[in-house]
Amino acid sequence: MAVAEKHRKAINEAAARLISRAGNARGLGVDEIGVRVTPSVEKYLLRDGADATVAEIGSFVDEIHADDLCLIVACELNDEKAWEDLVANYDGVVKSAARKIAANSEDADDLASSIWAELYGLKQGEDGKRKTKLAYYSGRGSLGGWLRAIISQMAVDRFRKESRMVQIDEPREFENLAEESSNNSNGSAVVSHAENPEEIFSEKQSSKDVAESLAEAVASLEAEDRLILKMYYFDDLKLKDIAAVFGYHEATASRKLVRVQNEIRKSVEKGLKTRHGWSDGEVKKHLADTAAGLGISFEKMFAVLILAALVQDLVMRNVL
Amino acid sequence: MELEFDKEIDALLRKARQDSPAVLGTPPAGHLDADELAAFAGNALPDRTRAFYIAHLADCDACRKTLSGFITMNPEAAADAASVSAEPVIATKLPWYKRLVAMPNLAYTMGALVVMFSGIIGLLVYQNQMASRSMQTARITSQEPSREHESNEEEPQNFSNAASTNSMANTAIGSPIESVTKSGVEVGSATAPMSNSSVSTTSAAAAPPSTTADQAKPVDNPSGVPMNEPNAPVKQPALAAPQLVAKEKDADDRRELEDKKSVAKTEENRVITRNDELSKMDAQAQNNNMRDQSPGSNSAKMRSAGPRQVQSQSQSAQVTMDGADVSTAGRAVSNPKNAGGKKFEFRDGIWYDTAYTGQSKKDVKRGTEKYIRLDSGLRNIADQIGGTVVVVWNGQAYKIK
Repeated sequence: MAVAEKHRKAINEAAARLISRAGNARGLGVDEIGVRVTPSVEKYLLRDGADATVAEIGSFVDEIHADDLCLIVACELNDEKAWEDLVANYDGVVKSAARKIAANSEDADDLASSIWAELYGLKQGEDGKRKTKLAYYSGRGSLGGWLRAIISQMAVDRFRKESRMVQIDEPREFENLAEESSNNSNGSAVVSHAENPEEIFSEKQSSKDVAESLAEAVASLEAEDRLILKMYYFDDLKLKDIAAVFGYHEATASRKLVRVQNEIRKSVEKGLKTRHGWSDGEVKKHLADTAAGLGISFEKMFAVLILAALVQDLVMRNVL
Repeated sequence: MELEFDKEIDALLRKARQDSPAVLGTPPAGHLDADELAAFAGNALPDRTRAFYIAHLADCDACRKTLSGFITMNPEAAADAASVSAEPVIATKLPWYKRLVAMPNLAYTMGALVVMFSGIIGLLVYQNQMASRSMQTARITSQEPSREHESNEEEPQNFSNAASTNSMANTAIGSPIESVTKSGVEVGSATAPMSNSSVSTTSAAAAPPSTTADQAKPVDNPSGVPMNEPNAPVKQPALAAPQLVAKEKDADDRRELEDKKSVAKTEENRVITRNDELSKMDAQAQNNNMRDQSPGSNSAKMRSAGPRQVQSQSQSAQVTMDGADVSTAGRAVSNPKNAGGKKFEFRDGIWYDTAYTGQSKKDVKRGTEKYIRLDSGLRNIADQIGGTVVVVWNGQAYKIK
């Protein structure tokens, strides 16, 4: 959506304020900053035809990291001093992020070099200008965070090419216990293996019904609840990190997760009963068997939960 | 309502992840770029836009995993960025009294207050030091008038001693008034000229000219009898002499009080010129000493003079010398010493550096570690002078015992 004239004036005024509050504006003018800020306003404020007041536009631009944006714009304009400062100040960030993703130091250096090449823009576009990723930085987030996000994206793309499934999670304690339990010789908590085809088919059908009900239950959640659930169960993020993304306390994230589990339970039970004709007893039995099917006894799970809660409490109190 | 962690659903979800990670949700068209992910993780998106990105991330495994990887890469930075909600960089306008206490204005204000109070306290301390110095100096100078007064009282005794040794008529007299009175009474005696001359010399050499000149005048003629006419008859009756003596004593006492007051008033000016006067007097004393030793000195002249002339000359010389002593007796300086380019005067058992003006001193005992740590030049001076020495060294006064 093209920026209206009233928006352009507000953007230019805010751009002037941005230049004044930058510690080093690098000789940039209102026009250069205004042109740079306009796409961000369109992208984040005026998305899908939405309108914004002059105050909202001013507030949006006022929250931009002025020094970071001026540095990037100066780099785009081939300011050598700006490039020197960019490399000097952020090469450490890039290398550190690359080392956390790459398997070894060689891959890390390779990844870091790729990042700088992408930032500088070794390829030329159709208009003859260098194609650089710098143009995608809006200044809303910090420059360091943006660089880490780029590295993370490149890492995901690279690994996706190498394998179909991205495995960035680590086995949880439950899974370890499940493995141990399944290897247990007394077979006290071993998943039952049906011997006749009817039972095998029945188990498969049950699993399919449960999976469908679960998918429906998750899809019926609100977006934020769904994202929290996936980040916790599928991405193995800690509640502390999840809470930080959403801007609330870890205890709040924990309460949300528990509420989400209750909603899923209700939805799964309802779906199994109404859509697949299960009875209450069958639902309860299957859920119990599923928990038991992971090879975890109730007592062990309870002990692990107690331990996890204790560790979480100590972390919250900054003891650890 | 107490919510409990649902272990069965937890297990169910974990199993679902194991079986098929991408079974839940279908990825929407278009993915988030790094800027959007970084802004989202940094909690730097507008509220209405944030909902859109939450909805996308909830259903897009690729973007969600990229975001999770970004958070895992630097969870501390993400947490810090998210915990600080984005605030407008341009602060709202605060009233002036709130602006004063708003940080960092509060820091500047407190700093300015600290500097101001430090300056005031420093000024007060400096003023106190100056006041104490002037008081010390006043104390030192106040001793001089009393010493001079004592010397004035002594001088007549000296004179009287000198006169008595040289004159048969001049018996030992306690006060110049008595001697004058007696001399006035004993008119016509052979000692009158001696008395007169002695009185005149007394008056001349009795004191620094400015203070005891008044004393000298009445001493010259307390009874109103012309002193230069030794043979003139005593006109006043003999019975009025004690009354006259008492009156003269009272007048003298009053004059002494007035002199003391004037001394106190002019004391501050004396402090400034004290060193110059002392040096002059020292030079005079030295000159007197040298003169005595030289062939043309008074003593030589006296040797060649007759008895009476010798007596008068010796008396005058003695008085002169006594006068010289008197003028410096208030400070009891025997022979000043020089050491290390400094001049020292002996007062009250202590050798004082002439540069010492009453400032605070550091006490140092010879032989102690503190003494050893002193500058070698200072120690040399102290050793040369000997005894208790007050030396001003590099602006600091040291009292070395």
